[in-house]
This record gives sequence, structure tokens and C-alpha cells, in this order.
Amino acid sequence: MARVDIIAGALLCVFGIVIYFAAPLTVGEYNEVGLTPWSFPSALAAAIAVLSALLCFNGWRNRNRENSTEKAEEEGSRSASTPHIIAAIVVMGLYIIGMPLFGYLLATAATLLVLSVIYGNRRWLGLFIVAAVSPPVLFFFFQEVMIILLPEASLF
Amino acid sequence: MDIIFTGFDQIFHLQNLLLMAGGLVIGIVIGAIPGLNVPLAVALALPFTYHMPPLAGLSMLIGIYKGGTHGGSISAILINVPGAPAAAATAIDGYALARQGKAGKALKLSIYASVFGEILSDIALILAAAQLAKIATTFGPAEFFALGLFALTIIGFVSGDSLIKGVIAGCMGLLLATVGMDPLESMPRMHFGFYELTGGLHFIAMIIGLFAISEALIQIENSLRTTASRTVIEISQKGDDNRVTWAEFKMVFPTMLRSAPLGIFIGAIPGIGSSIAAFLAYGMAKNMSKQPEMFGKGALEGVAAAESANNGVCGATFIPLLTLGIPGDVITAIMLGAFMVHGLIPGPTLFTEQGGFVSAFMIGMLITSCMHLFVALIGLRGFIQAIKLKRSLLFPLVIVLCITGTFVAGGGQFPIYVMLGMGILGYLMTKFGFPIPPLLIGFILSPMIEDGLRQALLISDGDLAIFYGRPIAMGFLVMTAALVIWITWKHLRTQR
Repeated sequence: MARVDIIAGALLCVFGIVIYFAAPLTVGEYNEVGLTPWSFPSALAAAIAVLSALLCFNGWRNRNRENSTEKAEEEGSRSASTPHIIAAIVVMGLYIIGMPLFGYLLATAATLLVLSVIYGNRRWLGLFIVAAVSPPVLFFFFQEVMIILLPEASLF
Repeated sequence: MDIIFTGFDQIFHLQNLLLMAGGLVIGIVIGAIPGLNVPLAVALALPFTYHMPPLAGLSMLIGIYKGGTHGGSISAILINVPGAPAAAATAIDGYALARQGKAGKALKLSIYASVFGEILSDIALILAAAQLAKIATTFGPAEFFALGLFALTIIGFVSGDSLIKGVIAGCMGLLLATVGMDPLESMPRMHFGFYELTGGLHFIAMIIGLFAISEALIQIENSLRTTASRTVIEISQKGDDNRVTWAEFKMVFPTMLRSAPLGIFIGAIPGIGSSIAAFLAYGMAKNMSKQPEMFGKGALEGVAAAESANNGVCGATFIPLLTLGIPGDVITAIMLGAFMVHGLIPGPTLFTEQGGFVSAFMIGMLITSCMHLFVALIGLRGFIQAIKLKRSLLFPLVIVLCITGTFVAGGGQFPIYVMLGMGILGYLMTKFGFPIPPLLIGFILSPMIEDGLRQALLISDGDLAIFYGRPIAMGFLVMTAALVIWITWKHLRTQR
């Protein structure tokens, strides 16, 4: 965890410093005496920067205490699942973009199919049944029961 | 008395009762499935309540909360994997009973104990809330600022192993809440050129992202790691092994009577939570038992103590939430969001301005608890089947529901991007060892602290005496300082 703390601490420290200086720029003008609209965000950004620097320092101090087996296991599991997680995020992004283009039904069915594969499901029959049945059920529930319109295909 | 009748009148509608029962079913099913948890269930259901009347929507969420807290015991008893952290104490004796062929007995006892704890907790809420709210009506900006600071100390209890990471997460939450319109000057700030951010971060999108999407991403790793299916112990068909006899109920009743008030007490204190209540009650039951050697080997008292204490927490967590507007744990933090989504601000003014609603809500909680007994007993065999559901089929559905729910509640694409961003943030936080609950608690308490501080200083013309000159504000500040010192000392001692 020490290496992780150093990385997280450094990143957050930079974030805190950037926000500390950027916060006043996001407000055009102010007329209040004493505390301004940016006082609170600036103080919090400063606190994040200081605490993150402390986290980074703690990580650096404990860098030699880390168990090498734990480190190897952690890295192994991370590298095995990282492509799947990135793929899931990309699929979610495409679903959000694709919903208004292809319509709720088609986009949802395709997303369910691909996500199930990412989650390691290889039972194709069950997978196709879920992908085919769930979107119309959800569509019916929202449109007919809750009377909320879901996106319809703009491409076709 | 009129308010109580108004409450009865408002809550006794078929729609509300059906939603309570539906919430209980959803909660028990989700609680029973290892990997799905109560915060995820409440977060996921939140957008569906958006278009419902406030009482109906909140009734459903209460059902999910109560059902989910109890549902964790089903998988704890049948496969020794607690569906919720609070059910870990139940697994000790529950699973031992199941291995002896008494799974049905353990499951039914867990239902009786849970419902008993819930009913006592709801009664405590009804008795205590109005009294506490009466005191809270005297609060001004200085008191609210001090109370907000005091409530922030919850972060110390929900930070896990690293206090510093918890505090950083809390500060991030406080900072994220400043995005949008400045409350006193009505000036947009922290929007960085995104017009959509001038209204602030969409709360439902944020909750769904942090609790549901991040969990779905984490579960990808678990799905890839565990391929073996778990063996579920079947319920015996033998009469006495499948039910709790009257003699057994009489034997465990004193344990339930002691454990439920412990759960209520812990629930009323922000930040401690149901897991600790369950383990404390389990320990107390063991110490007071005539047969302590049976604990761990299938003691009925062990199941009764853990379950009545962890469900005893449910109603009591609403005491600080409804009266002071401070969430006691993650679930009540999400519930606070649900109140706000429906235009209700928990706190003393809720009692004075919406007395009928508060009364209906509390009566609704009590009805949900009574309904819980029947729903859990009737659906027991069905709920057991939920444990067998595959994660690889469930989580894609969860993701689709998250995106659809955010679309429905947010009314556009931007909140969905916020949800996705928050999901990635929540995932990274978990991977880097940062706890998520402090971020949500900071986000919720931020307006109370900032508005309180700035309004108090405006009233006093910058004089800090407004904080130490008022006894309640001073009291909260002293308690905050004492807690901060104690929490820091405790963490430093643990690190050594």
C-alpha cells in the first residue's frame, strides 16, 4: 500500500494546489465582507493538499515495510482485471452515447450482451435470453407504468 | 393527536402499502445476494422514487433498508457468507445450525429477532424524535455550524484503517458540494466553464456512481477471480428442525430484549453502525448465557442477539437524521438525499412545517416492520433461491438500471456523465484504499457547515464570540474537539 499512498498522495496534492489557486478564478466578483464565496473551497483545497502531502510522506516512510508477496499478488490481480474494467467503462460510455442514436431497446440489449461477456458469462443461451427480454420489460415499465419517455432511435 | 390521525390517513393507501411490501422483497433479495449490498440497493432504487409522491417513494426505500439489513442473514446462515457486513455475527451460529440440519430454524429465528428489533427501534424513534426536535428548533446558524462540525467526526468512525485517507475523502466531499451556486451570494462558482455544473452536482447521479457503478466495477475483479459456485445448504423437512418451538422462543426472548435496546442505542449515535451493534450484542449474549460454550456451535441465542441488534439499529438511525438533519451511517446519508430529492429537508423545521408527513413516515416505518414478518416468512423459499443468482448476469443489469435510473431522474445526458465519472472516482478510491462513505457525508454536511459559518459571522459582524458565547454551539464544539483528539489518539495507538 505504501507505493499506492505515494502515488495517490502526490496526485491529490497537485489537485489541491491547482484548486486552491483556481477556486477564486471561478467566481467573477464578490461583495461580501469577511468570508467570500471562494473562502470555503480554497480552505478545503489547502487542507486536501496538506493532508495528501502527509499521506505521501507516510507512504515514503513505510516503503520498505511492504510485504513482497502481497505486492506481487496485488499487482497480479490488478493487471488481470484492468482490461476488463476499462472495457466495461468504454461500453458504458458507448451506451450513453448510443442510446439516443439507436434507441433504448437496441442499445440496452447490445450493452447487456457485451457487459455479460466482460463479467465472464459464457452461457450463450441464457445470455441472449436476458439481453432479449430485459430491455422490453424495462421499456414497458418506464413508458407504461411510470409514464416516463425513454430515448427512441434517431438514426432510423 | 390530530397530527397522528393525519399521519394514519396519509400512510394508509394501497399504493404506499404495496410499495413497502415491494421494497421489503427487493431489500431481502438484494441483501441475500453476496456482493450486492444495502447502500447499492437504496441508491439504485432512489431514481425510481423520483416520480412518486414523497411518502410512497420513501416507504419503498424504508422497505429496502429494513429488508436488506435482514436479508444478509440468509446467505450468512446458508452459505456462511454474510450478504451484508452486519450479518457476519449471525453467520457464526447460524451456519453452525444449518450444518446440523437446522437451517429452517435459524432462518425463522433470524426473521423473528430482526422484526422484534425493528419494532422496538421504531417505537424508540417515535418517542425520542419529537422531544429532540423540540430542542433543535432553538438552533441558529452558530448551532448548525457547530452541529455540522460535530457530525463530521462520523468520518473518524467510517474511515476504516486509514484516518488520513478518510479525512481526505471527507474534504473531497465538502469540496464537491461547493460546485454550483454559492448559497449566500447566489453566484456560480467552481463550475470551470461547464454551464451544467452551475446547478451543482446531480445528487442521484453522484450516489449511483459512487455506490452502484463503483461496486459493479469492483465485482468484475471478483467475477474473474471466483468461478466456483457455492453450495447452499437445503432446508430440512423435519418439523422441529424447520421451526422455532415455543420453548425455544421463550428461551431466546430475554436475549432479544437485551440486544434490541443495545442496537437502538448504537443506532442513535451517528457513525457506529449495525455491524458493531451485532457483535457487541453477540458478545453480551455470550457473557450472560447459561451455556456460553454453545456459542459458535449453533446457539440460538447467538442468532437472536446478532439479528435483533443489527435490525434494532434501523429505526434509531433516523433519530439524528429526522431531528437534526445529520446522517448516522451511509444508508441514512443516501436516505437524506432521498428526502432532499423530494423537497423535504430533515431537521427541526420538518417537524414544525410537515408534522403530518413526519407522523405518517414514522407510522409507515412501524407498518413496514410488521409487514416484514409476513413478507419474510411467506417468501423465504424464494429468497433462498436468490443466493444462486449469478453475478455475471446480475451486474450488467445493475449497470443498465443505474444508467436508465439516472437518465430518468436527471432528465438528460449530463447527469449520466457525472454518474460515470463518480463511478470511476469511487472505483479508484476503493483501489487506492480511500473509503467512500466520508466523501458522501462531507458532501451532505457541506452546506450546513458553510452556510452556518458564514451566516453566523455575518450576524455577529465577524465576532467569533457567537460560537463560544452560546451554550449549545459551545457544547458541540467542545464535544467535536474531544472526539477529534480521541479518534486521532486511537488511530495513532493502533498504528503502533
